[in-house]
Amino acid sequence: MSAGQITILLNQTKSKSKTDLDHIYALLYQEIKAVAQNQLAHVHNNNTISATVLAHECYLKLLQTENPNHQDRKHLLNYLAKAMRRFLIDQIRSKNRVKRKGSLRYEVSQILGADDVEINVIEIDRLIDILAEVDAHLAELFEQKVIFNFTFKELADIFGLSERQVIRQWNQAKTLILTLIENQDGSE
Amino acid sequence: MDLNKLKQANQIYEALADKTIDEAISQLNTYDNLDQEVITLVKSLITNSQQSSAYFDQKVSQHYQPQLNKTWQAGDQIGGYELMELIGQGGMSMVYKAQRIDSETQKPVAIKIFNLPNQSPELKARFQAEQRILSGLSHPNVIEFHHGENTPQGDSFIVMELIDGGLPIDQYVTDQKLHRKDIITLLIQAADALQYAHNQLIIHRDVKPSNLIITHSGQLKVLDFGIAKLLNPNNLAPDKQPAKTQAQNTLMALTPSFASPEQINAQDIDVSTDVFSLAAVAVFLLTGQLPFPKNRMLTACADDETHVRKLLKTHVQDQDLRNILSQALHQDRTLRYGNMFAFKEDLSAWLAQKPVSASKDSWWYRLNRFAVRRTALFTTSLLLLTTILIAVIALSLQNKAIKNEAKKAEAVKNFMLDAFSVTDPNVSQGVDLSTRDLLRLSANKMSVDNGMDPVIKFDLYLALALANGQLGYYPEAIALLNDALTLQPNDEEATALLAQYLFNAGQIQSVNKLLTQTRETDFRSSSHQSAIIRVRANVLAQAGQYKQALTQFDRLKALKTTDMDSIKNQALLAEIYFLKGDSSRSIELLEQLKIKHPLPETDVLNLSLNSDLAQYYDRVGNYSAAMALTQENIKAYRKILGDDHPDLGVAYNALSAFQWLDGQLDDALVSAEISQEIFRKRYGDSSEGLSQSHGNAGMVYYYQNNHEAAIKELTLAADMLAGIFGKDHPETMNAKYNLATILNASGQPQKALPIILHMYQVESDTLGKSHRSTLYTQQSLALTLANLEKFEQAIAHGKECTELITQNFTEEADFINHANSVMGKIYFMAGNHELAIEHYLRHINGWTEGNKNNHAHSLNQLAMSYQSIKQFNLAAKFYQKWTVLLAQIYGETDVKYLAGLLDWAEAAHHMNHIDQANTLQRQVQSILTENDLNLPDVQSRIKQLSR
Repeated sequence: MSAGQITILLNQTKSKSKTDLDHIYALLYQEIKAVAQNQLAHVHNNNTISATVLAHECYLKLLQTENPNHQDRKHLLNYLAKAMRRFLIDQIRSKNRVKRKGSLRYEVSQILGADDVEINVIEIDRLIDILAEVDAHLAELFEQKVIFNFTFKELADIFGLSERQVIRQWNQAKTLILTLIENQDGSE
Repeated sequence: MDLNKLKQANQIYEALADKTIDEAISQLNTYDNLDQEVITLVKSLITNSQQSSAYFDQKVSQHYQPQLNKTWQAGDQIGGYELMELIGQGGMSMVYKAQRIDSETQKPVAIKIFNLPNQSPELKARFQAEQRILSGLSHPNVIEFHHGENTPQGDSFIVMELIDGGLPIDQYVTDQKLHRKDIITLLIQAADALQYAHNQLIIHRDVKPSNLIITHSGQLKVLDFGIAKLLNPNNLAPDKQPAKTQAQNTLMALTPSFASPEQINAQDIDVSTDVFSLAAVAVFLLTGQLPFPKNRMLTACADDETHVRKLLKTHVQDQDLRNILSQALHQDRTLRYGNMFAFKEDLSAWLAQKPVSASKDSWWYRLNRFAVRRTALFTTSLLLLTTILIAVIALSLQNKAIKNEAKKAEAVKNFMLDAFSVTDPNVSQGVDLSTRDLLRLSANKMSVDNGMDPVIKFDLYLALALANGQLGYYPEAIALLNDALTLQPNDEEATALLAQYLFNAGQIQSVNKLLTQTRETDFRSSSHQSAIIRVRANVLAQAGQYKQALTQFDRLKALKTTDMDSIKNQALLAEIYFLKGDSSRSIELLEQLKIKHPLPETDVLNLSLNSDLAQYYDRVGNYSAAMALTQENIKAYRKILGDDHPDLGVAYNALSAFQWLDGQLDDALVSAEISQEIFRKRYGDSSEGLSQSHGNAGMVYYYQNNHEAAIKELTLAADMLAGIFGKDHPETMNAKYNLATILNASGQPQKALPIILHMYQVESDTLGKSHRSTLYTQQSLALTLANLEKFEQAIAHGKECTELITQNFTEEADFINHANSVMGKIYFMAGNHELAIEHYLRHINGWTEGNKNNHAHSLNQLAMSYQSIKQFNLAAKFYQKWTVLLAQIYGETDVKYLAGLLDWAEAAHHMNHIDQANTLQRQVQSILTENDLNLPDVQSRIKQLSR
């Protein structure tokens, strides 16, 4: 991928059509895959890599190649987060399919950990979508913190807010997510 | 879920975000027209906003990060141990069974490995805290902690005691099919452990069934002080936050089924949180269901109380237990038990109080032990054994050995004072409740002193148990002895004491259990051996198995014993004979014993012997001797125990009974009043002793012909006993019987009949027709029937009864004789005066000692009978005898005597003995004048007769 390609795409398509968005995600997805493979190559049998680390690595790589300005950085992250989520979900789902030749050589468990975690990832993914309907901004903030594990300072930077505001919003997002969790099955 | 509602809720929540929870909720409550669901959501948001990030991590963030850096498996090595198998898994840790690598002999342990994501300093701090907490705790019911470490890779783990084959308490309860009492007994162990922790300023905060493990031997261990918090934040170095923030940093259980409302609402925690949770576990174990509704987190526990109350009502029959648990589960902390000690106390008291099931044996035991408990009017005072027995001995079945040298108790008290430097608030000459409180305090403190050498601790427990036992506080003594036996199982002395106290406290089932497990032949000390044998014999005798009891007694003879033991052995033998019905032998034994082994007046044993002897005297009808001994005891009690001691009340009850038997009616009332005051002071408005004194007062009023007052007192007594023992309990029935008797006598036989009939049936069934009690009841029944003019039935019963008495109680002249007076009464009422006279004469001629009132009554009746069959001279003769006796009993200026004279005068008129009549009237008049008596009723009666 050429430098800045994705960013240009992001900027170009202000009112993005679905095809455009798909294209962007496809590019990002590729990036993620590449980074993942790279990381896993360095990993022991028993060890895992974390999704967060993966996401972070991707982001760093993209920062370098894309070199976005501040505004674009935010967009980039946004899309990357969504792409990442999709990537993870795909990993989980493919695990249950019959193994196809030449497809994923690594198992999700190597990225995420134990089995029951996978279920929760799918769950949380869904919750983020629901949260987005209640408050889009909080959902975005939440997504980025959770997936990239940014510090509050970094998030403040990304979103152009004060750290205090970010913390407050993070708490709000957390609260809503917890409420969503409770109100779904009534237990736990 | 409706997202629009959530949006709305979110908006409201944001508006309230700056307020405290209380303010926010009050504000929320002021909004009108809000959808209920929206309100619920807002509350949920408010609650969730209090969750810490650690909680959130657990639920969300962690899923994007690996749980373990390394997965531990069997075969792995850690810190010098080899992991054998996974035995448990929690949210933050995994527990393995492990074996020390370089040692084959060391027992396997449990190792808890924490999987802490590197990014969580909070969890790491928690781990360190847990280490610190656990290392400070040492208690038999708290899991033993060895040490904690970090591996080079940065994994944290702790090594602890392995409970191999232990089960969580809910599983144990189900598997063993435990009953209420056993469940509560187990939970008391947990309460002990938690109380201990509280004394170390540690609150557990996660009390739930999976944290209460029962070992193979049935011992309970509390686990997982993982989220426990130290009250004193200074003890937790890195976490110098005040309690409130600490609470906010709680890692909430994922299913808070047992958490307290303050935990759920993230408020301040105190020790009552653990009380709450333990009570919640109790409800779960007793009912098989979770105590609270599922949505309690959302409703901020609003429905908790109603839910659990309903649950208790349907599943737990016992009112007392329900009350205890309800109190512990109050939403409002200030209404709960303030601490674990209070909760435990009530549970223990509940355990102890529940009497051995009213099996035939125990009934029989009580009835026989205090054989006749009648204060019936139609019977001689033989039957008044009731009061005497009850008063002097019965009540003290609980407190049998109470009368102990205050000196010894004082010595123990001083020892405790020295040992624990507690100031004694009340140095009185008597041994009073403050000593009791002191003893309890000492026991409590002791369990905290984990630095104490277990041998010394054992001795102290024993000493405390003895002190409590001597003061008659058996439940406490028993608990202490059980503690002692945990330290040194099978200790002879402790076992012997335990057997005695269990017996004294009436816990026959427990005694039998203990006796089955005890092999006293292996004991080294013959004193302890005899103690056990004596308890065996006693239990057998009480159950009516005299032969076996005596067989046991024979074993005693073979043992070399101290003087003390010899005395106790003889006392036991006397008791056995008494129960067999051979009281004269008992008397012989004890009288000889007192000569052979004279004891100081205030010696415990002496008082005890006196009590027994009084009982035996009474049984054979030697009331003066019985009374004398009782008065001696009273003096001694005062000396030792002071003026307020409840046993003094007991003694006064006895004295009161003797007094009114003897005709000293006013004195009897005074004694009853004294005892009432003592009992009210000590025990409040309802107690056995109090009911007894009311019963006595009732009897006195009856004899004073104040039927209304009599009925009032006796009803009070009966009601009190019904409240204490239950309405069909022998004690209650007794009191009702007395009431029935008075009802009878005051002209309400129709009310009395059902009561007496019921008693008779019950006694015939349980005791047999020839039992003393049954026979007395039968007599009353006969009289009641006669009162109701059912003469045929009355006579039938009367005859049968007399015959049975004559057959079965040949040695007891007074008993037989009394039957005569009963028959006389029946015939009199039936109008068959010849037979009435016949029986009355027999009665009077056979009368030696006893109820003078009754004797007088017979004389009166005789006179009236003769009058009816027109044998006027004989009638006059007996009127005279009667009035003379009245003068003897009550004195010449007493209204009863004067009334008696006037009755005679009236009769004389009818018999046409006009001169006699006039003489009598003049006699009465002069007594009035000479003594300046103001008796208007008597006066007017004289006037009437003069016309």
